[in-house]
Amino acid sequence: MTGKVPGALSPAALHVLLALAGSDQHGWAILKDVEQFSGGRIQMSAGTLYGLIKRLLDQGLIEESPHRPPSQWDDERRRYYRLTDLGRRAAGEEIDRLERVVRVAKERDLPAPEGA
Amino acid sequence: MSGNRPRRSWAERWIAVVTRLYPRRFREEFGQEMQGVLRSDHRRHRSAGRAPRFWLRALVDTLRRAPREHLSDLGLDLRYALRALRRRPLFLLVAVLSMGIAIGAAITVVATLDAIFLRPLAGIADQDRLVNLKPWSAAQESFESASYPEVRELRRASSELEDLAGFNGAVLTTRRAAGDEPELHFGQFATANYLSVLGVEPLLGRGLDDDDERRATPVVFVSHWFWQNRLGGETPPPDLWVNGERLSVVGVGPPGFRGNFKGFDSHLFLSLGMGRLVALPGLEERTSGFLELVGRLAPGASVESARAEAAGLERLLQESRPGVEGLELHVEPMTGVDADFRAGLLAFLLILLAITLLILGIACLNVAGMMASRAVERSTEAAVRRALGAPRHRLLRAVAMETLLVGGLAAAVGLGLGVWTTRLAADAFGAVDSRIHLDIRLDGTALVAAVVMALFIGLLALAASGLGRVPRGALAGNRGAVGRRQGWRRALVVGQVVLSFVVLVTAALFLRALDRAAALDLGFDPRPVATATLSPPLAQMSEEETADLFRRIPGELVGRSGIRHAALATRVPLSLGTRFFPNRIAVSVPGQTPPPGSDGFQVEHAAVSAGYFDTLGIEILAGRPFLVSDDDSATAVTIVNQRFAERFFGGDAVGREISVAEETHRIVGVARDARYRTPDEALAPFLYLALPQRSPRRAVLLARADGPPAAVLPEIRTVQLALAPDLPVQELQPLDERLAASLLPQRIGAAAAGGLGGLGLFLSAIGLAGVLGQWVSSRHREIGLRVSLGASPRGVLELVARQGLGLVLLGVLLGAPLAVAASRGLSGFLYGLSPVEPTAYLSTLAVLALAAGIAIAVPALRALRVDPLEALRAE
Repeated sequence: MTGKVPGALSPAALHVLLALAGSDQHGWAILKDVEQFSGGRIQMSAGTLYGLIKRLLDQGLIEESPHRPPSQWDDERRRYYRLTDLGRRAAGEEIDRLERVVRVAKERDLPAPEGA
Repeated sequence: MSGNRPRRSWAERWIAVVTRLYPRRFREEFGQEMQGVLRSDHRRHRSAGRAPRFWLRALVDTLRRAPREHLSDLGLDLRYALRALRRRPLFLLVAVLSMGIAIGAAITVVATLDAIFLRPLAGIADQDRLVNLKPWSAAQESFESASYPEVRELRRASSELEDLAGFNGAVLTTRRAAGDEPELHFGQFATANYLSVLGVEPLLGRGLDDDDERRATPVVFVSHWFWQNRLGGETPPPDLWVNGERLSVVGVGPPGFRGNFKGFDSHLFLSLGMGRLVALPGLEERTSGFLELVGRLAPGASVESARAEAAGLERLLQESRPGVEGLELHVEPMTGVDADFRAGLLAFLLILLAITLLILGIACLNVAGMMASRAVERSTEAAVRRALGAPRHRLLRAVAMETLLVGGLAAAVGLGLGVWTTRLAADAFGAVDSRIHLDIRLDGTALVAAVVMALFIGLLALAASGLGRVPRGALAGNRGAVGRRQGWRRALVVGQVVLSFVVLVTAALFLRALDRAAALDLGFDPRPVATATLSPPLAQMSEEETADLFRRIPGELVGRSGIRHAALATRVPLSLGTRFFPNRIAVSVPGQTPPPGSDGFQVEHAAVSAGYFDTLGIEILAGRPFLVSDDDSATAVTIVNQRFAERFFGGDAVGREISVAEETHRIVGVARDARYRTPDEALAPFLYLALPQRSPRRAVLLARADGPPAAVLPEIRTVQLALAPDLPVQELQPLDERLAASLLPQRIGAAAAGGLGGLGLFLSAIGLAGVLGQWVSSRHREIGLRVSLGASPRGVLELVARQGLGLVLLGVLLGAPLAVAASRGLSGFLYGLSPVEPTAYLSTLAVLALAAGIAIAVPALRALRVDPLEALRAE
């Protein structure tokens, strides 16, 4: 899938893309992964998660993955998702943008909030 | 089966409930996965001992997300629908325009009904507590007015009425300063309690009071409109000249208040003490009633209780009018619309409403037909999609969204059209009488009506088209299934033909009625005559000056730019005033006994000047016409019509003497019968009096020219300005135009029914062509086979024509009895024309046949072009 990278990603969408950056995953795994690497600050529920997945699928940032785990681990009701090239690019651009933001914040001595 | 299933846990049920709240399309894609995730989440929370937190989270998440998904689902449907409609611009155009025009017409009629019958009068408090009291004279067969002492006595005697006011309408000449161009406005001379009975709260200043009435203080109360548009909205309002007298403005009414008549706006309100401005009779005179009555019901009283009381009050009126018998006092809710107008107007508007609803029905069937044809076209596609698992509801949703879009666009077109047609309707009433001003507008009611109608037609069309139901076997190319759908569509076409037939017959009947009215022998020739109304206010011109003006003006006109004859008359035949306000006078004939309880025979009359009969082309059959010498110093003379001469003198009337209003008059001539009130009235006795002997204050100037009457209108204005520079020029127009107003219902009916009938016919033709086109397509193979077997082009044409004509014929057979039934409702507007008038039906048939011919020709020619080889190869 080629196409234009859509505008700024929401933090939640970015987190889903990040979760898929490592490996193809199903919904529950994405949800747990995001929870884990956001330090519990992003806790999605099923509706939010699949709303995001639907939009990311529509935008062509992710797709259904044909690769499934060996049958003894697989649950046929699950679907696995993976990043598309476009999704990878979109995530990269968003990370770039965030890096610039962080750099500027540090240059200007903006303190991180307490407990961060 | 269900008995073997393990019982579902509460969590399972909860999960099932929350996922169900998502739109179906979303659920089908992600439902199972979501439930899996929710289950995992539940297990995790439960093992951490936080199960309630899970329940709450799942619920909150769903309530936040599900509406968004529903919205995006709807957006998707909308996009699909738009795409589908863009692919069929012709369908879109015809559907939107036909429904839009029908909706526009219907809301115009609804808005008119609303303006006249439904909307209460503005600025008046609790109109439903107001009643009109009307003295009815059985002997005269007409309503009478009350005198001032009678109003006072009725007011005192009634306990069912909280208060009772009397009023008298008049046309007044106003100007801001002494030298300004004069203007005419309606005003009311009323008892001091008039405004308080109506519950009118002055916006500025005060109302009129007893002091004003007793002392005749020169003051006037004006409408908000008048204050804004004629007095510049200044506070305090400047003085105003009314009928030549300077009055100070003591109060301004609330916005919208324009008196208690719909359509006839009053802007000036004066106390009866100022009655001298229009020469009202003295207040204490019992013999001359000139006041209409409006009362406010007392708390706890009802129209019925007021009626019961009125029976007792009649005695009071009887005592006040000795010698008059059979006097009744009628009580009616105050509607603001004259009872004479009400019934006819309501009937006419309901006929128009019925016509527009028929057209709505045709448009609806048309859209349904087009949708059904789409269903046939799409049945294979739909079957494929269903076979691939697309659920039926999704197909239905797509079509419903299309219908909604078409309906929405049609409502928009209808409202846009309504803005224009409501103005047209208001203008039509203005054409009846330039003084009528009706506020016909599109308001919330119209908006709701348009939306409801669009939805209604849309849904009806959807249901009628049978769309969304995919015929079984469509995938296998089963022609039977398609054929069934075709049967539906044929029924729709027959329905359209039926409705078109009814509307077209209505149009044809109205047109025939116009024709007939034009051909009626009126007894006079209005075509070469120009008219103007002369109504000098008393304060401006004395009686002598008015008489002088009336004497001089015809003579001044004759000879100028081809004016042959000129005259004055107090009544113009067939004008609206003559039609709605009978003008009878008591006549006694020596040797003939008048009807019991009456002081004479009641005969319609008019006062006319010398030259009147030549001007209107009314033949004098015996004796002589009026002469200039028949003035107030000469013997009182009268001219009677044929009917009068026959009824009272066996035809030989010249030289006889009769008593008119208790004064002896000599009959000097007999005039040919003419129609006075309506073009088709039964001829009745009529009396002409010599105008200079009656000294009226208002007369219509009539001038007969060699050329078209419009050409001499400027001449009349010039002469009038020369003789009476201060007199406003009123109703300067050809006589034909004045008469046109009396034919207006027929004109509007013919235009509306004709225009809408044409639209209906066009829609039916499209439907017919569509059905036949489809039929030809589905018989492609058969036609090809026939042609290859040597069938002649004529044979093929016949085959198609038979199909089409069969449908039309069936429609006509079903439509004819309906049309007969419907046109019975029109009989009041047909000038005695039979509702089953053959010409109307035959011409409708001819028009319908022509349209059907065109509609059949297009697909028939296509059938002729079928290439037999190709048709056979396709199998």
